[in-house]
Amino acid sequence: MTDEYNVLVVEDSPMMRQLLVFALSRVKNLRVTEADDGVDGLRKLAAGKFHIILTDINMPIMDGLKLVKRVRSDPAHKDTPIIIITTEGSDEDRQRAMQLGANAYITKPIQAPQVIAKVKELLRIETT
Amino acid sequence: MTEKKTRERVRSLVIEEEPGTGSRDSFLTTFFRRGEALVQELQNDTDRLRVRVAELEAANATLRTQLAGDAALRDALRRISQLERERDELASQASEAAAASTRTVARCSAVENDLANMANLYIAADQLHSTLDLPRVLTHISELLEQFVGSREHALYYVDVDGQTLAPVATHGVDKGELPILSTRPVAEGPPLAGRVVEQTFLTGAPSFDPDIPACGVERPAACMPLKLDGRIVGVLVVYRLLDQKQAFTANDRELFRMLGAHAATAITGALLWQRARRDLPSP
Repeated sequence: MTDEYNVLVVEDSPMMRQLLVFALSRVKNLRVTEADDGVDGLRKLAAGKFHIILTDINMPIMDGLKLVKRVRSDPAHKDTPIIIITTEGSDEDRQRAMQLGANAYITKPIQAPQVIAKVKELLRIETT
Repeated sequence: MTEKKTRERVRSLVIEEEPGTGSRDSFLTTFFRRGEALVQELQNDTDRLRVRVAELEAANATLRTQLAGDAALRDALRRISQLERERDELASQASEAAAASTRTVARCSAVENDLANMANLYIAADQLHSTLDLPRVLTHISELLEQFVGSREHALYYVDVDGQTLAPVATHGVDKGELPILSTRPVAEGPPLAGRVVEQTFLTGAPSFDPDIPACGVERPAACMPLKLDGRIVGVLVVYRLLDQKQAFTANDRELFRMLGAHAATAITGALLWQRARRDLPSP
């Protein structure tokens, strides 16, 4: 049983990143690491062990969908849960992300409790 | 055997002397034979009585057991009643606890939501005042509207230095050239359609929210919020369209708009003054 979970937040908007970090840091045993874009996210993934990834789609340098594809092609992270958090709300975008291997798709504007609930669900953390 | 019956039997031992046959031997033989028969009869009676006593004792034991069983049954029924009362009491307590738990969960959820909204406001204010660089201030305002409110198209109108015109200084999702430049004073012919709600918000200082979100666009903004600085209106924040998944403004959106209305002008004016001050500074 893992006592501590490492979360990687990949988001180019400092504001949204701050919001996600603030929300997730309030959950017991979650440690949050931030990345500015897909490439930064891959670097952080290579440097440490992460239990779950939250990523935006529209980002400079490498977008979230490419990141999902890269992560899923890496045997070390093929089972790591991925949550997409994006402004793109169409069914096509959602389907594409899920086909690439995302585990959940949340559209902005986000409700922090909703994100927390999804993270807990995917990490199988009991809600008390 | 009753006393009367016994006497009759003893009496039967008396041998009537038969005439002409009074020999002693015959008398004794008859006497003993009858005595033996009597003893045998008495023995039989004793055996029957023994059996009867045994039967009565067995019946008595059964009755005693039954009585004891009845008492145990009464005790058991009393215990069952007591346990049922306790069960009802516990069920009532469990029901109350479940109701209290539901209330607590609902309260926790409400507190979580309040906290999340306060976090939004805190982060928005924090980001807004985190820089004196004008482009970054404008970017932060735009990001706030996009990320926190769910705006797809919006613009920031601001008065020029002379206070004569109200012009879009930053836009997102909409071409700045599409938007009209408005006069800060009412003009006879009125503003173009795309500027009517903006002008109205600027002149009255009252925010407006259109309830029919899908029908909104550049000519019919979804929301207009006056930007105030020291009680003076210096600009208008205009949201034309929301993201498809955003169907309506929430109370939290309005609170965020209110905060932006109160703080965005301060941040923009601060950045403008800083920009001018830096320009005016002599080069080292």
